[in-house]
Amino acid sequence: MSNDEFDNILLAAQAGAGWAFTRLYEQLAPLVAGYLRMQGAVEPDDLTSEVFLGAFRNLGAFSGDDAALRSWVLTIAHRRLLDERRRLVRRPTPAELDPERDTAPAGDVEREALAELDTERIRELLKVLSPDQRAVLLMRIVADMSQEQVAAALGKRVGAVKQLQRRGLDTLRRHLERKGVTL
Amino acid sequence: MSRRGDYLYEMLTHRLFSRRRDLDAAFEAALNERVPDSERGEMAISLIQTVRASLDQPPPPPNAEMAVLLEQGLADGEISTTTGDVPLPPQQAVSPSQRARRGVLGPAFARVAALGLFAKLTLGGVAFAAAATGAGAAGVLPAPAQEAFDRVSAMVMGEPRQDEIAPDDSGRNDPGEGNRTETEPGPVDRDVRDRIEDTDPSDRGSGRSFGDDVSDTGSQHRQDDAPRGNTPADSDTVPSGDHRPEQPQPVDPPANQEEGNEDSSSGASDEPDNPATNIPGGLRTPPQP
Repeated sequence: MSNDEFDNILLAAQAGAGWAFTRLYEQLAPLVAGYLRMQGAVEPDDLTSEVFLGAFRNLGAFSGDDAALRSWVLTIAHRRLLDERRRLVRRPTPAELDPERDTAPAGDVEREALAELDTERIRELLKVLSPDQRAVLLMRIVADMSQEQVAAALGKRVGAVKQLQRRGLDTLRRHLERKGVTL
Repeated sequence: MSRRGDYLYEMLTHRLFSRRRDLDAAFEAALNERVPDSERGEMAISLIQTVRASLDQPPPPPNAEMAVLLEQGLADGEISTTTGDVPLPPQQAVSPSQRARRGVLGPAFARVAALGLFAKLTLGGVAFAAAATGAGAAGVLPAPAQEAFDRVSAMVMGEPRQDEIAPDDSGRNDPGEGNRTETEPGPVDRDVRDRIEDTDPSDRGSGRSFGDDVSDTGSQHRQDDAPRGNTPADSDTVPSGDHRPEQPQPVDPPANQEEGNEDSSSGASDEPDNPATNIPGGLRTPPQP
């Protein structure tokens, strides 16, 4: 999406246009849902809808480019995830695969199955990380957020984010070497 | 821990951190779609590619409320211009005071922060020295520090002599020339200038009469101060003759200058010193180069 196109869509969304919401949702929802899934959210799809409801209703306060919007929406997703965890008052368990829901808008079943398999593998792998390490690595990979953006989203200092990233990567490496597996 | 244990611990720590740094650098390179140059790059690339591939899915189906919003949109009044319970976008999550500080001091802090450690230390040392010198010159240092500052500054700059305090001593190097300056003369200068102006213009070219005049006056003062009895020094500085005034007057009247002129030939030849060095009042000028 070019900058001009994004600006037009953002302006229309800020004016309340449904088509603009749809475009933004189509673009960003897979990232948000993927992030929530890999973080082990119980109801990632419902949570994704909640995230976008909050974002769209407060879009008038936003200004910035598409990277900033992506970072903002991921920040909201992370807060909603923490809210969900507090609500559940227990360690979140990975959501069970719901074939009917996940394949409803499907076009290429094989690709989706592979993607789901990857998600499962990654979710298992990321379990060895602490919640903060997982959040840092996922935000950086999923939303392409900078360390400064991640620090702002998590309410931490940039130095702390760098440390979390290094230690998280090192933990993954050691885990993979110990298991003798590759990604 | 023994020294060997320390060494092993350091080696292991170094290896661990260097490995972490390599992995981190490889991760950053892979995120920026560059090829990592370390052996750790493969794992970083695999991780990123696997995670991103899992995102390659259609958007999840919206819940009922979201579906309505996507279909119908929102009215103007339903969109808030404040974030409510939603966090601010990262680039806006700055307080007004932080923004003001960044606006005024941000570039300066950024420049200082960009300096190396040695440059920062040097800058700090220069700033401290400037502040200490200024405070010492203003005399507001604590007593021991001020005393030390005064001692050092006296050692470096020397004790202020009286001839250095005079506004201009250039004209006194050769009083006969009547070298005048534009600065306001002090009381002694004024005295000297008056005598220069009172002398005959024809004599002013050589300046000898004036030189002898002041030399005599100075010698007389010295004799008055010294114990009676000619010392070798006195004989050197005091020209012989009866024209020595009886009264210890600092300035001779112009009428006596003729006498001085008469003796000036012998006086000048006998007088090895610059006549101006004996100006009454203790004024001394450095000898001519």
